[in-house]
Amino acid sequence: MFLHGGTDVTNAMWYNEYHTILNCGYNPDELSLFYMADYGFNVPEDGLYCLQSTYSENPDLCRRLVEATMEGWLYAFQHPDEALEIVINEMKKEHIPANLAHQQWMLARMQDIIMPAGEAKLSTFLTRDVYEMSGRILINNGSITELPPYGNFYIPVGKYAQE
Amino acid sequence: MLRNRSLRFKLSAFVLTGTILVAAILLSYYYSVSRRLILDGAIKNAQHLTQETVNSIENVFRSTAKIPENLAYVFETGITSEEALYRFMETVVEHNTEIFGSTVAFEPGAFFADQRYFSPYFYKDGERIVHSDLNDPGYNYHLQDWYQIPKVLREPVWSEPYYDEGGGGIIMATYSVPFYWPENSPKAGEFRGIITIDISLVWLKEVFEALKIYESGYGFLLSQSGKYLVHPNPDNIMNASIFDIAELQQNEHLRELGRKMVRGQRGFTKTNEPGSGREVYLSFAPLPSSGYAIGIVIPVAELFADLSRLNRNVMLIAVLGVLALFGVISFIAGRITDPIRRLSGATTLIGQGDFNAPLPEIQSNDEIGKLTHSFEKMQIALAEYIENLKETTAAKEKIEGELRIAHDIQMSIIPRTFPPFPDRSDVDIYGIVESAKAVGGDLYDFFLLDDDHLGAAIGDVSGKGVPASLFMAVTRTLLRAKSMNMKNASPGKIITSMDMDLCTENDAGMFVTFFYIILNLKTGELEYCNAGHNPPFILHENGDITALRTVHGFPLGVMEADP
Repeated sequence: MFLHGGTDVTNAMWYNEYHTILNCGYNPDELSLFYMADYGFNVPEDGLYCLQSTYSENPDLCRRLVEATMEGWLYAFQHPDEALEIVINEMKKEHIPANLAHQQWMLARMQDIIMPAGEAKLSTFLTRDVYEMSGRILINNGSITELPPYGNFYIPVGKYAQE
Repeated sequence: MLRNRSLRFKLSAFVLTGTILVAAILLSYYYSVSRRLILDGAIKNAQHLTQETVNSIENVFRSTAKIPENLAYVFETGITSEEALYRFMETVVEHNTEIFGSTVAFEPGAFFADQRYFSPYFYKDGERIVHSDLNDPGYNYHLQDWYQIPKVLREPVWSEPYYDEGGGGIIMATYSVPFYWPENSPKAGEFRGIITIDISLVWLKEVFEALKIYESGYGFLLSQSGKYLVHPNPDNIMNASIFDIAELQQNEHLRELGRKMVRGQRGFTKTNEPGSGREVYLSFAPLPSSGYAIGIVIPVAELFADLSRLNRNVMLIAVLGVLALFGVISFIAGRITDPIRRLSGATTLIGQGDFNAPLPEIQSNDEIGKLTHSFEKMQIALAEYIENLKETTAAKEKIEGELRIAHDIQMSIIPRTFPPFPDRSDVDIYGIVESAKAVGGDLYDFFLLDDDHLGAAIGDVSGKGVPASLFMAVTRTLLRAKSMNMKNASPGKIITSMDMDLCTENDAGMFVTFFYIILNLKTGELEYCNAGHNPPFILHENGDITALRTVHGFPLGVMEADP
């Protein structure tokens, strides 16, 4: 819709749709960009969620899943070509447009976001400040009416859950 | 470098260099003009081909687009029953081979007042026409691009191509046409829904495959967003956009070309093919109805292949021609320079002294002929001159031989044995004559008149050479004769007597300066007479030297003295 000129404004993930727009032939200097983070909306995305009961019954399984997820990311960052090849091959099998340039961009930007250059370690830790800031935004725009206590929402799991 | 080369070499070198230069200028001019002509032709051809392809694709898009546009018109003028709508849709899908499926999607409550979603979809399943409804709330067609974009833009839209749902790898595109409430309804003119047709784009590939562009030229097709729909590399099709390739290869120029293409511009430009990097010409133009763009790629090398081949052949002919020319020039230069070479050989012999060396026989009367004739004359003149020289030299040698003898004779009349009186201890004397020429007029003489008197004389005849020497011989002979005959006469008397004889018959007008002494060996007294000779010197006992400046008269033979 945005690309057809149907709308003047659209929201886009920096690591995903933004690149799609660039690679439809728009140059960055032809776009006006507003970064959410610049306006106090630096909200985390993509948590790992499970039922309380699942965690109490299989704490070790949950821990291993979290650690394996993080190690998967680490491996992908350290071996980007291999990671991209795996993804592209899967996409081809499924007849999904397999766009190497786009996948490459996404992996690189994910690294920028969750493991910025210079930081040697990955952290899964959700700080109380960030949690409460995100909660306030949701309450203010009416998405939720009350915020669960921090300890009920988030349990640090595994060796990467360090501040 | 050239200085020591033969005339034949120089001539060949200059003519060949000039010829090659002219040929090179001609060839390069011809090549560049041909190249421009070919390029102009290629641009025209490429633009023509591009436009033809655009037209053939546009024809299909346009005629296909007419179907939903007509449908929209039908709905706007009044189909009210569900049954009629179904029958109509089924007929459309059934009778249009290029249409894979078609849907009519309504705004909430726009067909059945109580239905939020109403979107019957008819599509081909093999030979059958199947019917379903896209009314799944989870799908919420009102938010889909094919619905929203034409609704917002209020104009028909071709979608980005996509793979068919069935997983058959068939590239499809959807054409969505908005329609509005009929004139006679309360909501007249308001947006009511979207009619779509789905068509396969497989035929596009065939259109491009049918293109024949030199050896390995090809065409490609981009979607509105720059995605490859048709491309020789199957990996690119539907997977990558021209911008993705530009990003992967960090090729800013390709990105700029892509931007021009998706913006609907047309053009012809030289660029490097992504991947291979070879130089190609790209002609591009938009497909106005769909917003797609096509590109025609012409490899530069193939475009100029014929010209290059022609150029190679012309070069080969030029090289052979130059070689042949070299042969001809060499032959002609040889013809011209051969007499010169032979003449040069003969002159070398003459230079070495062989004046009878034969000159080459030249028939022609050109510069070489004239030169040879001149040389012939010079040769004869030289031989004559040398002959004369020989004779003259022989004569001179003869005279010189006689003069040598004359010299010996002259020297023999002067006392030359020293010491002259070895058995006497009271007197010693020494004399030397160095003539300027073989013989001369200088003389000296000494002799004992008796045991107690020594006569000695020194003289110099006017002039030099043979006359002087003869006069000198006469003088000396006279001195001896007079000294012997006139015993006890004083030097003055003797000299006066000699003068009289010398003056007689002296037609040649010669004279001699003369100094004559008589030394008394007993007393040491010295009588002398000086007839015009240089003053003699006296070496005194104490080492002083004084000149004896007394002169008694003219040289002998000038005029007779009074006796």
